[in-house]
Amino acid sequence: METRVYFILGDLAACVLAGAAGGWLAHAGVPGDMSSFFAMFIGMFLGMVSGMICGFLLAPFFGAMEVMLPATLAGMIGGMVVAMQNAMAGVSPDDATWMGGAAGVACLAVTYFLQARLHGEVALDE
Amino acid sequence: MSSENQQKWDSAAGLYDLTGGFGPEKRWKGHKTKLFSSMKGNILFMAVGTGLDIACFPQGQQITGIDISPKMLERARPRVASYSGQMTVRQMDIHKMDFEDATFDQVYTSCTFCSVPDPLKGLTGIRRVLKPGGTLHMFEHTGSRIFPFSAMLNFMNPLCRSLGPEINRDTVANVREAGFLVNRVTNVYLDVVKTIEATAPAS
Repeated sequence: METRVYFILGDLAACVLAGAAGGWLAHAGVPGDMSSFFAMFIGMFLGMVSGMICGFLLAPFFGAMEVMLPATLAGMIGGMVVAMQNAMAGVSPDDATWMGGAAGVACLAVTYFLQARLHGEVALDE
Repeated sequence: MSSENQQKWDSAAGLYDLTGGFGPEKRWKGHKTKLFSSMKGNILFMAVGTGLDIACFPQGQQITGIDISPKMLERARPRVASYSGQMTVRQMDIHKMDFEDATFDQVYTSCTFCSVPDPLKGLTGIRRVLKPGGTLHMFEHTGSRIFPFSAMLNFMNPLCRSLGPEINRDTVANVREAGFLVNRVTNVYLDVVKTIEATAPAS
């Protein structure tokens, strides 16, 4: 588990930024009158691309895979949640950005949980 | 294939320290230092790059480093010169190493097999230059078995490949397929960044 404050804050910033960007992009790029099923996939795609870009930009400062994977996940989930919510009930651009950012925090928490479970020696029969 | 690969890494040499020298190195330094602390005997270090890993080496070792890119090695020279042991570097393609059979006691890699075009051929070459019973120690990032990370790595791979490394390889399986006995695999980050320790069996 990462314990250095610099990297924890970097991880948090990357995920919030990637989630917010994914949410904003999904709101801007997915029509609100689209079926929520198709909106979900387009939102995921747009969010994943924006998350990946955020990850690439921040990786030199905070670490390679440790930034790119959570940021891409955050963008993907942020884009998915916002696109579906917008298709079902309509969301303002500001709310879309906030929702995406919150999804980013949740994604980081999931990633930290998985890291705590997976870190360390692997049984060789896997 | 070799010259194309060389050109790719020559092009990357100028920005390599900027993109990989701070965040990733600081994040991984403790894990690399721990892995490299077992260095002893005649050591081959694959893909020296700009020599960022040299800061993690224990003092006083006898190390031969290789890299396919002369521009990377040019940038590595000050770090090589300041190493406290005996270290030499040579420009060489991992697929065509001209060392004698059974030359080295240990081989170390650090984020190397994401970038070797034919990983199985490269690993077979390492097995050849290792003495029987010699050990391979790797710090590598690989693909993941966990969804959605597996899908994301596959999705990102074409872009990453064009910039440099592949990010969805099963390096542990490749090490086994090259005939090594895998002794230990340790996850550093999720199941993506890991250390692999293996032995070249007496043939």
